[in-house]
Amino acid sequence: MTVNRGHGSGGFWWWLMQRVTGILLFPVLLLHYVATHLQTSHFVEYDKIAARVATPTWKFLNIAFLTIVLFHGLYGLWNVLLDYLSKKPALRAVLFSLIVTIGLALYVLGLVTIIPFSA
Amino acid sequence: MERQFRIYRYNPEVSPTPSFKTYTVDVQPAWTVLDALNAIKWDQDGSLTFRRSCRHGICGSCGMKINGKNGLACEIQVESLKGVITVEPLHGFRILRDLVTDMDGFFAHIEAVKPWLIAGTPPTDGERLQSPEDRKQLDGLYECILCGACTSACPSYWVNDDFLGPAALLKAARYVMDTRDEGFAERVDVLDSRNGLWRCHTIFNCVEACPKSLNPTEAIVKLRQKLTALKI
Amino acid sequence: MEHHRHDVVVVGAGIAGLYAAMKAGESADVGVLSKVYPTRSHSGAAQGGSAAALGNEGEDSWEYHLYDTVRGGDFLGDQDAQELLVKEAIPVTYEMEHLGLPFSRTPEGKIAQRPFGGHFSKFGKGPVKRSCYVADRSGHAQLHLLYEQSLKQGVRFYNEFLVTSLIIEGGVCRGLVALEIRTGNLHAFWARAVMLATGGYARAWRVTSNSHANTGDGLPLVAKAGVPLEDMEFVQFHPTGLYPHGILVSEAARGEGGYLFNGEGVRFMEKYAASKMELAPRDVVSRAEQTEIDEGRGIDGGEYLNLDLTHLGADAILERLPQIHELVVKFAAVDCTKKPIPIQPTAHYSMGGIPTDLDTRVLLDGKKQVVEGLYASGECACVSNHGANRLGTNSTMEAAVFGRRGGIAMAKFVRGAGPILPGDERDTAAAEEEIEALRSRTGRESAKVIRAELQASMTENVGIFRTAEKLQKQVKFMQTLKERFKEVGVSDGSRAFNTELTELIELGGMLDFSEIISVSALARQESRGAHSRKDYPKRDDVQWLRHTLAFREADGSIRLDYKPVVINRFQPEERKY
Repeated sequence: MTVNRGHGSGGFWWWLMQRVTGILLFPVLLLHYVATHLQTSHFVEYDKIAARVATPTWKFLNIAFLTIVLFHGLYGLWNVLLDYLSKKPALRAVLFSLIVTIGLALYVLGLVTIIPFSA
Repeated sequence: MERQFRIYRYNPEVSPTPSFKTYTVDVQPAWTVLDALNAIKWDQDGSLTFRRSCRHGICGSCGMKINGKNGLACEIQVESLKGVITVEPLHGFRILRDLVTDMDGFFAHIEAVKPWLIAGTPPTDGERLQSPEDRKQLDGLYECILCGACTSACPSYWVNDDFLGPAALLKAARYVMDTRDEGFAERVDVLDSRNGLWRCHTIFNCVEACPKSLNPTEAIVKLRQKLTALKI
Repeated sequence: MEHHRHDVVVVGAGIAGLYAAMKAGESADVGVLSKVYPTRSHSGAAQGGSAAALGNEGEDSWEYHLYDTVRGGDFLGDQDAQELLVKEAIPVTYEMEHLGLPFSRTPEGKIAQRPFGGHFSKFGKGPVKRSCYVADRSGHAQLHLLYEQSLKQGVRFYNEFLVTSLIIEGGVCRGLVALEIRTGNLHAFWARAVMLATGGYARAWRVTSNSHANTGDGLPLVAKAGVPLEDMEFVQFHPTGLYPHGILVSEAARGEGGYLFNGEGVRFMEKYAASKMELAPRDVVSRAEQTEIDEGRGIDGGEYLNLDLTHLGADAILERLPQIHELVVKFAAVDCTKKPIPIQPTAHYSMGGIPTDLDTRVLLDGKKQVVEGLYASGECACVSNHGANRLGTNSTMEAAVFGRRGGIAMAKFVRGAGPILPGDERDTAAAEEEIEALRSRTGRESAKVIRAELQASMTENVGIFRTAEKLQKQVKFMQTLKERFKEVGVSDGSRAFNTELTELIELGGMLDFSEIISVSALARQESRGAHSRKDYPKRDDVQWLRHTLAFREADGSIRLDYKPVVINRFQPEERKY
């Protein structure tokens, strides 16, 4: 046990973002679900979908979805890990870097997939 | 009526491994678990060790785990328990001997939240005024007896005893929610630290464990709301 | 042995000890020793509030409060001390509010006040609301507040340390030796000022409102140093102990309007105190109850009576007496919004104790001469605020007012005094030997049996009603118990957390002061306040308007001396409620 002498900003903005992304996740996920699984046509056709994701609106929505999901999921994981890492600052730093790296890599991968689509 | 008590025994001076020992007690009407523990200590086994004082649920000494649930031995009626009664020390704290745990860390966390009124100069000729409605904000916060039942029930605390824990956060709320207090900003460093408010995952074990029916989770939520209002 | 040094060492962490620590801590280096963790002290069990004539809810003045306190104490209290109590109660209440005590409030936002037994306005004539309260958790709130404020002042806490002896040489207290319960090791504490705030001792009775810890540990320590104990025969029995546990049901229950009924359904107080009824002082109500029970008018002829709150309504009960409601449900399985509460008189408070002056300095001869550097306050002390009977809500207030005075006095004293004079193993050898001898005892007697016999006999012989015959019997029986105590063995051979040993130390102390109580009670041939002699039913101001001082002599015998009562304002008069 170490005495908490406080060192501020230990998570408020992270926590707030987690809440915000959690709330945003709901409509984005719903939209994604409706668009991909409840579309009127029963046949998944590349051209049709490519045309849709190429629109600016859908590009924006997909980038938002990517951002929100990555943040929410990875911060959730980090928040669980933090419970176990209070006394292990070195490991904490390593794992934090790892999660950020994975997050950025996945983000870039997502962006390069979404952005180039054209009709 | 004869009842059996299966009690956690640990004395590092005698053996490094804990064990359970079962005692049979002739329980009298209206006896609490504490009465039974006293009877065992006084009549059967003088080495049985536990803390106790007020025997009516106000001092917080005899927090322990009884049939798997945290509570105060002094206010749990033996009659209300079924079968063999298992008595263990509070989980999550270092065990010193038998049912006695090390509460130093618990009290250090209480101290860490600056549990005192932080306010400007009071009037010289009387009390500060506080409306009954404002005073009511403190109900459910000031009654805590620091028995440790909540913090001991908190899974976040089990894996991380640096976490302030529900009792210390409830204590912080007792001052933060006081309309006379102006010290929230001074407490932010501790509350918004890595081991502060954010280690609570709203599991609600603390609420279930509290023998005084208090709600530390609600207090934590109030503190988060207050912090949000301050930061934004 | 580990050695520690502090300017000021306070023994006991109840309201008195913590108020002293907090105040002294403003300028001095303070250590607090408590045999329990902080906030476990029995002050936390106080429920109804603390008296101060704020006049927030109707006319009041400190003169009225003083008159009630003097009369409530049956004129045995020292009126100079009582005047300090009632005057300083007012600023001390405001100070506690300023520190953050969460007082209940009036609609205008002032500190709320409620009526209590023995407190009246206009010199005993009208009703008054004088008790400043925090619902019915007043002591709990004060105890936590003062602990937290002591932390703020940087007071160092030594938790679970049981003091085993004081080091007093040539009339100077230099420190003390204490057992660290967690390790079983003895520690020496060296200080310029030591305050004893070790609380009450009603654990010596079978039915008691007191906690297991209330074993009066400070009293035998000073008695051993030749300091007398004052007015020990005055022990208060609270009228409303929950039956059969004896746990306190606050007087606030009657203050808020509760009635007492006997087995015949009669509000019997009309026979004993027709004008004040249930709000007569505690000694009067407890005697009335005991008489009803003795004469077969208990509920179903049993040893209890009923306290009825049902007419107050569930809302008022849950708002103002929530803890009482919870306690009665948990311990008597009674919902007091619907049914009456079974109650009986319960040993509650000790008016007597360690004699001190107005600055809480301990008096070596009980009169004038002080022990340098030794202080006492709260229930263990007797500055004689309460005389022969304490009024409800005056005890937490006394602890606050005199704890505070003591803290200020100690801080001032250590500023002017020389450096701390630490001793060495020679000074602590005797204390060490004593504990080691206790630890290695192998006798066949049982501490539990001796304690139970002490409690039963004190209840029987030194209870609400006393006679020469019973008291003589008790004095004699105390010798037997003390002899048998020497044969009590310790079965637990461990050092760490040996509570069998600590209970034995406590029992030794209880036997010591119980004998002093019995001898003091036998000598006082009158009835005054809580000391009620069936063979001397009247108060005798000619012979007995004086304080008892009981000295423990070197040969173990008890010598009694007396000192006059300070009467500077109200002359004794007949006490009628």
